[in-house]
Amino acid sequence: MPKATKVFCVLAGIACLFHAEPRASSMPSPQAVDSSQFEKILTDRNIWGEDAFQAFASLDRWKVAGESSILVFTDKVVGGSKFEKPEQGRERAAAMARTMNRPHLRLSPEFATSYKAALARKTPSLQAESIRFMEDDSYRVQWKREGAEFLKKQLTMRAVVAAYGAPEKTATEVVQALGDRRPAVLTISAYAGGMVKFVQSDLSPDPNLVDRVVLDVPAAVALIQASH
Amino acid sequence: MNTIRSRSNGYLVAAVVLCSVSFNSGCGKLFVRDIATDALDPGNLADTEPSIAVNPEHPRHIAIVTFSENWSAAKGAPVWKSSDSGKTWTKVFQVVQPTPGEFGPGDQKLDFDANGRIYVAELASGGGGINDYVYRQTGGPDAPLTPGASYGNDQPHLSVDRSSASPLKGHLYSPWLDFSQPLERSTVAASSNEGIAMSSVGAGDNSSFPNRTTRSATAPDGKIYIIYKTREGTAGAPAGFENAHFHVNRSDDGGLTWTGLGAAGISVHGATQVQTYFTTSFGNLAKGKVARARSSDAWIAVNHENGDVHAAFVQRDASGFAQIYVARSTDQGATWTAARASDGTHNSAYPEIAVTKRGVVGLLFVDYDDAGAVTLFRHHFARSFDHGSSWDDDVLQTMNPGPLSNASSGFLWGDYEGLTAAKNTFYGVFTGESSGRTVLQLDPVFFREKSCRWWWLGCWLEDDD
Repeated sequence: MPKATKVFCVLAGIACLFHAEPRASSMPSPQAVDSSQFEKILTDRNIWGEDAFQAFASLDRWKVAGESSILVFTDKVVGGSKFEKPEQGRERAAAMARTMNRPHLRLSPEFATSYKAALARKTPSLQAESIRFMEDDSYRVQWKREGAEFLKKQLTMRAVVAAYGAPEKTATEVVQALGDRRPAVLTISAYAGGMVKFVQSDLSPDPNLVDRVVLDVPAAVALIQASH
Repeated sequence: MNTIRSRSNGYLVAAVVLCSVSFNSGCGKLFVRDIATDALDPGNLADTEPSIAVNPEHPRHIAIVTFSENWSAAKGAPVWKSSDSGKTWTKVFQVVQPTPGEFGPGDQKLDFDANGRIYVAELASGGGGINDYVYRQTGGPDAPLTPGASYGNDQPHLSVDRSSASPLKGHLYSPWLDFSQPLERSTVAASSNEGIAMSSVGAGDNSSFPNRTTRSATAPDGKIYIIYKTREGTAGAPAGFENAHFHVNRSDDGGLTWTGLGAAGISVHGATQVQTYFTTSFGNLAKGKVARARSSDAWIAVNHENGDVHAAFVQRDASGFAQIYVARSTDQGATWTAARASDGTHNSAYPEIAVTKRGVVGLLFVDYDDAGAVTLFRHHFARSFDHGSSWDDDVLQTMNPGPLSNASSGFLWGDYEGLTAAKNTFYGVFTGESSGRTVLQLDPVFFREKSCRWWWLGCWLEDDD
């Protein structure tokens, strides 16, 4: 290789490193932030119902479908992607439904131990379907099964703070729908570098309860999945 | 002589004291009060989108709904109530969950019938979608209210016909926006049995453009009016505005048909389009929190003494600002004369209008001043003693929502607020900055003002409604 080409390659490599740095900081990897807190949260039975672990062991389906986040409610798991038209939601749900009977992720030892009992339960598969998400009138994909509990019903933000300390960041979001009904005002408390967000809604019968938890799908998959 | 002089001085002093007390305590004076307290609102809720009604049987009895506590399976959502003309308030948790699993209150509005029974229109949402309900009083005044049949969709309002001269006295009407249509349509659900059964009829003209902002008012002869807008695109409109017409239509048969003023109704500002708000950024985003103003641009009221109809609407005019205009019809909505009510110096919206027995017109609206470092929102209450030709304008409150922790940018006070009239007094409520609270926040703020001037003899002799 000519000397000039070698110099160019080295300089290009350095340039690539500098270029990549801001990306890494804007989307922290599980290793860059407190992954032990993330792991603790993802295995915390005070937060999750047993059905959540079944959903977490299948998170790769959301990742493959292109969902960067999921919203875990007490009775359902909803994709973060918003579709304007119902057929878009139906297409995404149909594609996901075809993957639902595949074996779950090969879990890392920590998660395999923690989720073992939940995954051993004989329960029907979760159903993927398209729904109209009332909060913002978008169409989304959800996982649901009659009687399933994903997020603990009476989980309060006070209990989360007691277990994990004050959130790293809090924010408020007003969710506008197509019409002019009362919008949901969400209070979002971020933990583990923003990979987990506990959300309270002012529309909830008890706004002190955690209404949903938003999970960063790629980060969670990277943490839960056994490294090859 | 000394005795006579002494007595004269005494009369003079008594007269001065009487005048001072009267001047300061009553006649026409604006009364403003934050109705929330730390005890009534321990959760420091935002109390947005307030609505008000006055019991016609007992005008000292006033009711308000705001977005306060939500209902649950175990407990109703509250109605704020006062029985002393607004001096003191309590919360009565009587708006129960309509069906299991439904969340709310979503949108809400309330009214009284001629017998002083309360009605509340509520939007509930849940797994099955959106449902509206009219709640009625089936027990004591503070007992849990009973929801009627489900109907409707977005932004239900409510008007109860309580006119003694009306052949349809007791009928109630709830306008709402039908999102199931290809182009949203203003629709009115009517009931002749207190909301037990509701019958919805398309009322707006959506043949070319979607509708929005549907408000209603009953007339003394049993007719019912609505105002609504047709959203006609953004060509030539600045950001945050769109082209529109504001139409009034009338039903002469208890809401069965809406053709009293033709199929589309009558534009209150003539054939020419106006520009009005359609934005989630009313205010200056660079200088603080902003508000949603998408269906915050029209209101309607009827003078129950002579049947005149008054309509308030938003129009961006030659001043370069969105302004509040008030149109009046003396022929049951067939023709209209409109004039500007705001002063042409600041962007304005959120008009609510009411008319007292004396024919004085009241107008509640909001403008903002962003000349300084932060945006200041001002709630105005203006009165017109000459049918809308001129206005006496009071600023009820100037507010910077920035420091208010429960003020959420994008939805500050809601899409609309509350104004009504009973006899010769205006009663209103807006969501503004608290006073007397441990935590500075948004609270519902009540106000009332007589529809007379302090130097009118009639004003001095008039009962405090």
